Amino acid sequence: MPDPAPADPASAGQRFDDFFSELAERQARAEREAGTTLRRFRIAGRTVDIRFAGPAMVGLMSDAFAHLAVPAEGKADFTFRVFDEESTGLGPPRPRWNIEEQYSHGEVSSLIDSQRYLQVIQPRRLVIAASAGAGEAVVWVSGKAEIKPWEHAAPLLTLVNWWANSGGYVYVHAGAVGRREGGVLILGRSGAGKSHTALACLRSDLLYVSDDHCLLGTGARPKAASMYATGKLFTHDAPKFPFLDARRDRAIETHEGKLVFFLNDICPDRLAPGLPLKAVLIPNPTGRRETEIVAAPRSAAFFATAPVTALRWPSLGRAAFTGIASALKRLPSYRINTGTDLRGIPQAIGALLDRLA
Amino acid sequence: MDTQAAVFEVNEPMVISETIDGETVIINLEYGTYYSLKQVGAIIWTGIQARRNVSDIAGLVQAHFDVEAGRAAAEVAELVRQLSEEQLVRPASGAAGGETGAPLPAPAARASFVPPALEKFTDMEAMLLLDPVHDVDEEGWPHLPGKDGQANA
Repeated sequence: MPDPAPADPASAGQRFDDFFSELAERQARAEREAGTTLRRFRIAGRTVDIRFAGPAMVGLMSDAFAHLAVPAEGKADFTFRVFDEESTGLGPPRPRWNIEEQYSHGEVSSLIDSQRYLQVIQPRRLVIAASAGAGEAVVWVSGKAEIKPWEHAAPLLTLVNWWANSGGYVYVHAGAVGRREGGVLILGRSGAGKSHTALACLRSDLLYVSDDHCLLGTGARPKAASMYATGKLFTHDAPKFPFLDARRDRAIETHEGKLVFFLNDICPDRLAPGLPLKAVLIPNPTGRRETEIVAAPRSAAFFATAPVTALRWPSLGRAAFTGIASALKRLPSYRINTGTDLRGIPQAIGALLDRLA
Repeated sequence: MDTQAAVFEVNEPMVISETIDGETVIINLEYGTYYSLKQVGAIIWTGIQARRNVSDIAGLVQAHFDVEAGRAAAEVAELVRQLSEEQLVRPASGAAGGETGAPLPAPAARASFVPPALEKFTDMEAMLLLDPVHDVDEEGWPHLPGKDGQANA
């Protein structure tokens, strides 16, 4: 067993910067040798380029952003630079931290500050180093086989979360649907019925922003912004959504027994990059046929999502917790008792939005 | 130490909290635990945030709820003890809230008193404890056996 890396006398910022610049050099070398594939997306109102060294990771890390693609004209607001070792032969540089400095979820907490973010997913799977000052993040992945189905469905989740913070958005474990002039945020724990509620709206006049991962604009007028054009259903629930079930052969299956549908291939006209928010909904499947919406305390909405979101990535959790509270204090909260007749769900949400208009 | 004169503060930065509609949600980011305080408990938390001493917080409780002084003081002391045990608060350093604290909320009307209860939730602990970071070698880098050379390519 090798000795632990000695404590580095350099400042945390310097240690990060040294690692970041060497990682960036390796990615640039990978691009020179394997070629560049560029994709540009507009997420939460700002543009981001994803530069891939070689083609290996392009689909896995950009399919889910397809609905947010924009032409690459001029300079983007930020750049994610991606390379993988399997196809380029280039690994990450030596670490500038000790094992004791790694914290939950792979965050190297001692090297993270307001301008820098570092996450190492073990074992030997993924490294994300992001520098606000450089306007870039560098992502190293070991290879295609190490990208899990949920990461194909929600690529670069941590990185987008970190980057969105600087634009006034926080990540929230939530769905969102509505109309261009106003929509609802759907909050609840995993399995609470967020996806069911959001996906039921795809066959209505309501637009779809997300079923699970969402960005929440925390300004004076709360907004929801889309991250991914995906929707998840438990395999046994898919037949309740025939238009999705018909595309089951193109869905991917996660370890939790869920099917992930890439909605940009199925109903691109129903997807919205974002919506202003008018209310918060807490789903509550009842087993009855009809859907109804009743008032609920905002504290219930907050409790349903804030701890789960805040504890997901401790260094990002503080901003998320505060941001969610700030937004919820501005929005009325309701419980949506969802019925088995899925058509009733968008009808009830539409009627609520009419009342709040 | 005079318990009633003791001043406590939130154990920042690892403890964060928000109060919405009379319910306070408290998170310990280090341990992955979170807590709920309602009504009386939320008012007591507000007093702690404002760095008021235990006696002042008991007075705040009395102003908001229908409870006699001795009972209020005992309930505040007991909740503060529990919060300390959970490492959510600690003895305050520096000046008490009389000089530095935030203003305390004014009561609308006195409500009936229900003893404060600190509800603890541990279902998210597993998310932190299962993190694979701590299963790797001591080098602090994601080496798998036999792949050291590649990592420094």
